[in-house]
Amino acid sequence: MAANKNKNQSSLVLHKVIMVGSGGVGKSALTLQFMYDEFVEDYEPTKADSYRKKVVLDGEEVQIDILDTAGQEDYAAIRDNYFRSGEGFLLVFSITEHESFTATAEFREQILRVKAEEDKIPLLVVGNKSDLEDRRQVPMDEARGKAEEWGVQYVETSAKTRANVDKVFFDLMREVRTKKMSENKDKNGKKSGKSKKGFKQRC
Amino acid sequence: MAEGGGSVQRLRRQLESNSFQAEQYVKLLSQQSDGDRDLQEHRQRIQSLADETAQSLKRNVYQNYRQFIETAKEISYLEGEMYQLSHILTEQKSIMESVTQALLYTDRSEAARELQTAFPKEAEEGKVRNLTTLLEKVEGCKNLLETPGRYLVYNGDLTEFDVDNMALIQKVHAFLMNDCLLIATSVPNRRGIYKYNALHNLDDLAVVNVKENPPMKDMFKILMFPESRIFQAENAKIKKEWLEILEQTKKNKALNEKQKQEETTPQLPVVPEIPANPFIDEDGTFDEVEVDLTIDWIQELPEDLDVCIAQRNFEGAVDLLDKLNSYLEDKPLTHPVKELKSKVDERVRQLTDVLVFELSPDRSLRGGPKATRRAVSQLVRLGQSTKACELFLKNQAAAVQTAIRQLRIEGATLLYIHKLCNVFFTSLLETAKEFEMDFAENHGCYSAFIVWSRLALKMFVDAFSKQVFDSKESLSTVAECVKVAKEHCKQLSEIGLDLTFILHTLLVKDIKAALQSYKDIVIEATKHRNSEEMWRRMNLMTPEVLGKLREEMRNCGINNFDQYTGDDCWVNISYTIVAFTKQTMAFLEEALKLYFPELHMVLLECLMEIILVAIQHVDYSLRCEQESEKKAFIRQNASFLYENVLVVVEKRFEEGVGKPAKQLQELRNSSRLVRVNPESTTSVV
Repeated sequence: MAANKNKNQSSLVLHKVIMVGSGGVGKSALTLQFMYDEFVEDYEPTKADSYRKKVVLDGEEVQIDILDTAGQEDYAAIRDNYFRSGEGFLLVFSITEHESFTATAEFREQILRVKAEEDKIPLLVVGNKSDLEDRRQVPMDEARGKAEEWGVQYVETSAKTRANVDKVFFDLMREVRTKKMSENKDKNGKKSGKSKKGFKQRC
Repeated sequence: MAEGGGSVQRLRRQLESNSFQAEQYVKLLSQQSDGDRDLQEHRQRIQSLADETAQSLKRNVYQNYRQFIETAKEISYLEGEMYQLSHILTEQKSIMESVTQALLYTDRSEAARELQTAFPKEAEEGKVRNLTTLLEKVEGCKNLLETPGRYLVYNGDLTEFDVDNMALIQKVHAFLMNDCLLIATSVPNRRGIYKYNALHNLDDLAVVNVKENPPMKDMFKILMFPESRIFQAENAKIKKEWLEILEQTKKNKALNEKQKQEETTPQLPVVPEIPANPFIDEDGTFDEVEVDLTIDWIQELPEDLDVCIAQRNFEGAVDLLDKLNSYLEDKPLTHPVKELKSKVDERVRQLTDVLVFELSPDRSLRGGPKATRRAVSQLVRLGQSTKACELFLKNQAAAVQTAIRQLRIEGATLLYIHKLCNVFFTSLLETAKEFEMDFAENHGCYSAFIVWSRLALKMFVDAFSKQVFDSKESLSTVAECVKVAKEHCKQLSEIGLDLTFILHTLLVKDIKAALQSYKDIVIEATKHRNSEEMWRRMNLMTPEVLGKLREEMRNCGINNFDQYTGDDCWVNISYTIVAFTKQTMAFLEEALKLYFPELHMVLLECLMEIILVAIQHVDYSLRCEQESEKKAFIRQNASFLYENVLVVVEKRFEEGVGKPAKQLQELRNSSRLVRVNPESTTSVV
């Protein structure tokens, strides 16, 4: 299968993005808004859905593959398998629910653990539901501070108003692209460091 | 032209005929020809005929070719149909499998439960066999079967696509086992045969639903680091099935592993397990209806069961189980319920084991059948009536055997037999009553009891025979013993159990042997007496002794003995005949005590043999005796034998048996000729 990936050079570059976060923070809503420009009001817990779309990233046509995962706790055990397949992560929480913000630290830990052999992992912290300012529980500064501590970008979005929705996906894709390019350079020098399993702390 | 056409026709017929010989034809032609013009013409005719033949040949070939193509088309069409058919069959097979799977889970009926707990191995074996036949179709994966307990959950055709560019890669057939997913590619030119492609452990893979986005349709993704594969199902319904079944299987696997861990550490308190796992309850997407398992007694149920079992409070344990079953009866079989059930089932197994141990024959022999009632009734309530019945009867058999063994063998056989019968038939009666009480609801078990009774009776007869027949007791003792046994046996009929026939069947061989050996004794004694025959009247010395003999004869049924007695102390019959009469009548009386229809022929033959000895003796003596006085005395003896003794024997036999003995009458009548006309028989000998 690995051989198949490189077989067809004519196909578009594929960036694999994973939506991560507690249940009900709006991962699917963000995805659906980005994919189909629509806001889905009904809440139905996701198990694991995959989306694919052609987009133009800085003048280059690419494909984005979005894996929308389940936030619910009972999927925790199988989450590792999902995380392994991702190249970039949108770590989503709801600004109206402080618990979901606290949970981001655990999700991040899990991502780092699963992708331990990789250097900097493309990741954005996303505070969703910014349209519900009156019910805000997570102060902007607190979230921003955390993101800085982790050395990543913090963006507030609204799946309902589409505010910053495109931005988070495109910014993440850019990070993924940058990482891939630097990896390709590295590969020319030495054989891939991917297979080695080093458990250094990063990010 | 007509002439030309005719000659062409003739030529053709000539060439077509079977006897056509080219050489002769050419010879004839050259003989007849009168110039080359004639030959030229002939050549032309042949040429045109050849052209015509070639044409028709071409037409035929073309026609055949068309037919050939049509046939080929038909064949390929048929092939397609067969393929479809086989596909439908496999599909239906998988449906049947999933149905049985579902039934195994949902069927809460008593029978199914009992079957599952009683024969869990068999059910599993069936699953494994299923897997075997399916995997025979896949090359290179025989080692899959080496994992015990592995079985097929689901399988179907899928199409694999390239993850990056969505290009079609290949057609595959996926087999989902309870712990892994096998992907096999189809082998070209061999339908229904697949080749091993990859095997994925269920723990290592994640399933992703691929959202519809043309050209992607009915697809799902399997992630297994570092690669992933995309498969397309035939339609949306099948894809949904795959997604659901994959997830369910993954969950079941995780659950099983958790359970196994639990089993290895049973001392840990199990109570918090149910409430401490709120996520399963929250899993609303999966369980449409939630069942409230947070009630106190349900939460504490597994532990309470443990306590009850440990305290040997079996009734309490079964009460709890009944309560749970009635509570869950109309509830859906959701995930937490299944989990609870598997926990409870584990304890049911424990409880069954303990009860089975309680009933094992080397444990609770004392106390009679009632001692086992507790364990038996609880087992019956657990739905294990078959097992309970089997164990109860085994236990009772052991108890009866021990009781028989413990009986002291008395010097007097009759005393021992009295005791033996008492012990055996009392315990049989008790067992029967207990059985009726314990298994009142389970009529199916009654036949088992009958079979058991037969075995127990066999045990009894063994002990009986050893004492009565092997020690060569006298026939009267044997008769007495058998009578005692028969009487006891009849008492069983008060509970509707009649074992008399079985008793007879078991005894008949020994009784036959006893009769025959006693017959031999009688014959030997008679012969011995006959050898010393003097043909003299008996002198009994005193009238008292004669009176006694008269009494004896009357008891034997000979009422006109007085005709044969003289004055004072004389008897006008030989000693041998008198002794013979007494012995034979005694034998007959005892034998009639033993009598049952199976013994009819044996008894009859014995009697005939005995009587023949006496008859021959009298007849022989009569023929050989020359003295007329003695001859007259012998005649008198003979008439006593024939007219009294034999008649009485026949009468007694008829009375005792209930039907006349024709053979005995014939014996008497055939001999009469000899007696009436003794002179004529000299030539016979």
